[in-house]
Amino acid sequence: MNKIVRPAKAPLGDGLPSVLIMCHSHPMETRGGAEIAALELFRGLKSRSGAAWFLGCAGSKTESRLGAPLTQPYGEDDYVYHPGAEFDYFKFANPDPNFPKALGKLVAELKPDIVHSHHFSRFGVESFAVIKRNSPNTKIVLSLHEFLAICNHHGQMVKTKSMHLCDRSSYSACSSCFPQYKARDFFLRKRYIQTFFADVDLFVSPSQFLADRFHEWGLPAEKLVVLENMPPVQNHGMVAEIDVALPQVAAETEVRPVAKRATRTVAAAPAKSAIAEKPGPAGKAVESAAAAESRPLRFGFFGQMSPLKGITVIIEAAQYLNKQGVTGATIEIHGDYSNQPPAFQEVVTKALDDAGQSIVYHGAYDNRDVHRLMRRMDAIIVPSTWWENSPVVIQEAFTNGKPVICSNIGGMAEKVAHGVDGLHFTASQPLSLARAIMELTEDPVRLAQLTAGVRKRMTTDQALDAHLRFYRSIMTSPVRVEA
Amino acid sequence: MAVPGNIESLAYCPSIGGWLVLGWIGFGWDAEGAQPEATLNFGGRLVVAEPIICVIDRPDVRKVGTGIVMFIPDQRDLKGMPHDLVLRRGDFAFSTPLVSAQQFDPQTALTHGRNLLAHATRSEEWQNLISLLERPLFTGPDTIESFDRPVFMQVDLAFVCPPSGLWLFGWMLDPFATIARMTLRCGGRSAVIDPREWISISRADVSSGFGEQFGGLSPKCGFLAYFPDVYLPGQAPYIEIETVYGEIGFKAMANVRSAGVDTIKDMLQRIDLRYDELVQGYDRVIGPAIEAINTFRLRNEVGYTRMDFGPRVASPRCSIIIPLYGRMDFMEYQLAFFAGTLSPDHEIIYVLDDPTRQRELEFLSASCYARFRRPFTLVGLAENLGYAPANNMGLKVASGEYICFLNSDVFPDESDWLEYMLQTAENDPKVGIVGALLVFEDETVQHDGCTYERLPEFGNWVFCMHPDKGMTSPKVLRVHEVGGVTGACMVMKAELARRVGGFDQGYVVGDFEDADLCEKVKTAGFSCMVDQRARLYHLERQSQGNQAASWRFNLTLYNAWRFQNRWVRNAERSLVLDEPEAVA
Repeated sequence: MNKIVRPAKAPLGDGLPSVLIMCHSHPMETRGGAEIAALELFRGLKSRSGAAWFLGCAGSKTESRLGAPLTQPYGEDDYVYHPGAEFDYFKFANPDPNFPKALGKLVAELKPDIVHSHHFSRFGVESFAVIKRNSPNTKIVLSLHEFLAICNHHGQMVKTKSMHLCDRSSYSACSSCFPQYKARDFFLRKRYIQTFFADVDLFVSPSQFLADRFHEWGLPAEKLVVLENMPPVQNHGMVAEIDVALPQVAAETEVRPVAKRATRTVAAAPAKSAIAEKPGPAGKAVESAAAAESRPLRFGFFGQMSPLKGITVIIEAAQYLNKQGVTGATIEIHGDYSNQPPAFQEVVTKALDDAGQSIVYHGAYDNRDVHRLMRRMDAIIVPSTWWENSPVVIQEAFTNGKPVICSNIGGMAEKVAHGVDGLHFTASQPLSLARAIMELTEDPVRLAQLTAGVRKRMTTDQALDAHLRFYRSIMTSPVRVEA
Repeated sequence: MAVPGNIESLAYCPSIGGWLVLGWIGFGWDAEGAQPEATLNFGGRLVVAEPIICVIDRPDVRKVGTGIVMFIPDQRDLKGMPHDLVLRRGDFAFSTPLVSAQQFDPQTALTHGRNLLAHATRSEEWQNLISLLERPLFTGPDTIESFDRPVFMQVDLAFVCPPSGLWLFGWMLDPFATIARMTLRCGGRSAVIDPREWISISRADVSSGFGEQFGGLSPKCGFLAYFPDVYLPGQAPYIEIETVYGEIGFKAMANVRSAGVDTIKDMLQRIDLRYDELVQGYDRVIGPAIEAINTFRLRNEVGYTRMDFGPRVASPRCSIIIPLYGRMDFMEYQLAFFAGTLSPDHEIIYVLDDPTRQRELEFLSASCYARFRRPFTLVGLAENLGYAPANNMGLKVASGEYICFLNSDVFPDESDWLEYMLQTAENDPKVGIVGALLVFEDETVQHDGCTYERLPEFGNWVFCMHPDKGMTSPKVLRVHEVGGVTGACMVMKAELARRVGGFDQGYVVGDFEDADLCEKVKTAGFSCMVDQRARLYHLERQSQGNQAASWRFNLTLYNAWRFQNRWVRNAERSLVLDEPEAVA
């Protein structure tokens, strides 16, 4: 593999690059991880007085105007695209014949230094070719959020029937998951997407794991960088309160080029940190709040109660704890399952009943309350049965100083260091999760060590600096590749 | 020598297949020796036939001649009345206009004829004519089951293959072996039904149903039969069965429909011929029936629309002709892959061979052009024509010096594929057709040129083989001469393609046209090459399956039959066959 050489930390300088940020759903419509990251980036660039524009796709909340693919209902630098034809979600093609012209005209006028696209869905992968045709000097950056380009199963790399984890796509394996498509269709799908990915100058992956998967799929290593998404907006007063206890981490280390790891490090714990090995001042000082109050430990789950988010794993773990008579732990579920299939809702309802005292179901929550709710917990559980990329919930947990117990796979295993700021358990194994929980209930010092091990995450400002440095590196010094 | 006489009445009688003519004629016409010959003139169109003439006593003309009852066979039913009649016998000629002759309806004419013959002199002619006139008439109901020893027959499907063919599928049981003769009649036309000429089909449903009553019956009582020249528009066809006891019965045919492409499928799914059955079955039934349907289908010039997406290429070097049928999205993929890789010197012509998808494809075309900005032309056919005619239509509108016939499921692997092919075509004036190395999506070989081989299980017919199919791709790339090149991707001079008439349209759906074109080009003195430097993916469908009675496979056999007729049987130039293994 080629060795990748990048310029050392580039100074921020005066002139900021002009950036058009694209997002497959306008943040006024929906607030998923990609929308939040894109919006924060836009706001950040604006706050630095940089030239920044936003282009997001309309949903039901934005009225379309006859014959106008682009409108500006939210202000002068903020564009909304109204898709004019049914999108092809198989190969991410946008058949809308009016969009290329509208997008081409827009980039020809704006001539942004950079188009940073936070998804290719709904715009279509062809939009990269349109941008290059109409503004050849513009660099295109694409943030990857899941495995959609690789996997037709909602980009999750989980088999459709067995729901087993999938390690690698192949035309025939993909066709087994989707028998209505033949191997040749998956061949064409990949070719189509890669044809237009060739116009992207750099791919940004928030996790090494995702970057490795895309590299294996065919993206050149020199075009992949690992850069954490912009963090979600926070209640600064509250974060400041937590900040005191958290050790700092250098922001510049967060931008790093991909160097593919030799193997997937699913269960392997990283080297123990100084904190874990020998409790430092912080570890010594902090005794578990629960131990101090002699109450059960509170383990929080936040998010969608879907099978892929591991809701059944967590409920079965609770059932096990209940059966074992473990009284030192309560699992508290914050989330909603009303939009899940009825059969699954039934399973969840029954399972919740069976888990007895070990589980408390709080129901849906407002995302604005997430920090307040998390701070009541002793640890956060992320039991997803798919790989995940860089789950926002882990960022949120760490922002609130809470260790994370997560599945030992993919982006979760990468973001949480086992034995440092959380624990890994074997994915999809409720017993393994139950044991991790019991490890903490039986050893209050262990929880205190992990809590102390949580490092401060990048602030919005630091993350923005990291983005700007990254932009500048594309602008000023094209990526050099040495054999 | 002209003689007097008068024709007083005449009638066309479909049940006996000709004209019944009554009147009188002067002495002298019945000289011994020559056979009589009657000519009916329908205003330029003539019916010439050998008549049967019986003499009857006519006191009113006794001094000048004799009365006659004459039958003139005419199965063509030219509609309308003849203008005049000429009767010749050796030197003797009788000619009369027919304008004043009375026209009878057939029933009246037959009754009148029988009455007159009752008093006539017995002769061989008399015997022939009276048996003709006394033959029971088909009036609609089936009568064969009321024979003393019944015969059972059913025509399940009857298709008219224009202009005059009838393609029948049915069954027949003759438990007492009483059938002496079967005749298919329609209007004045008739054809002998000979079970040795039809394709026998197992109909266990029928034989088991009748088995209880009549004992062990052969399950092969079904038939598929073809009669090329029996149908008359407006006339109901029926079957006449004569038994060894002289009984005559009829079997009607319900639901006679006109044949189309669907008929081919419908009929072909009912047969499963192998080895030598193949030759007779295709020679006598399948071949002529499908030929008739296909010829009729393509008899008229079909209209088309032409839409240009983007500017036309001025004097293109090569015209890429791509027929579209079924998967429209293949065009989207192809154009996406061509954009930015295919030289702008070449024009791309898509030929939509499915008018029902025209609107959908127009939208997709506009969308593709907006997205990829690769100019192309869309030709929309007014009817679904099939592979060869669609390509030929593309050839008609193409303006390139070269033509590249390309399938819609072929996708380039790298950008220079066409340049390599053109280079090979240009380098040697004796090279007629250049093919490419086609691979599957797993990089194994799909096509690297064809060879010809005889297959004993299919009548020892010659088939195209694809050596190395499914094997790993060659490491060292070369340009090599081959027996034939697949139409999925072939380059040739436009002038040569036109000179040999493009693809032969007698093949149906899409088989063998490419091998046929290669043979035409080779016959014209050129060679066929594969340039392995040109590498494309061919995502060939896997649809024929293994079903024994697959209509699609049988259609391939039809195309093979046509190929044999054109290039193997009676061909001046013999094909070079590949013998994969030495003969012991």
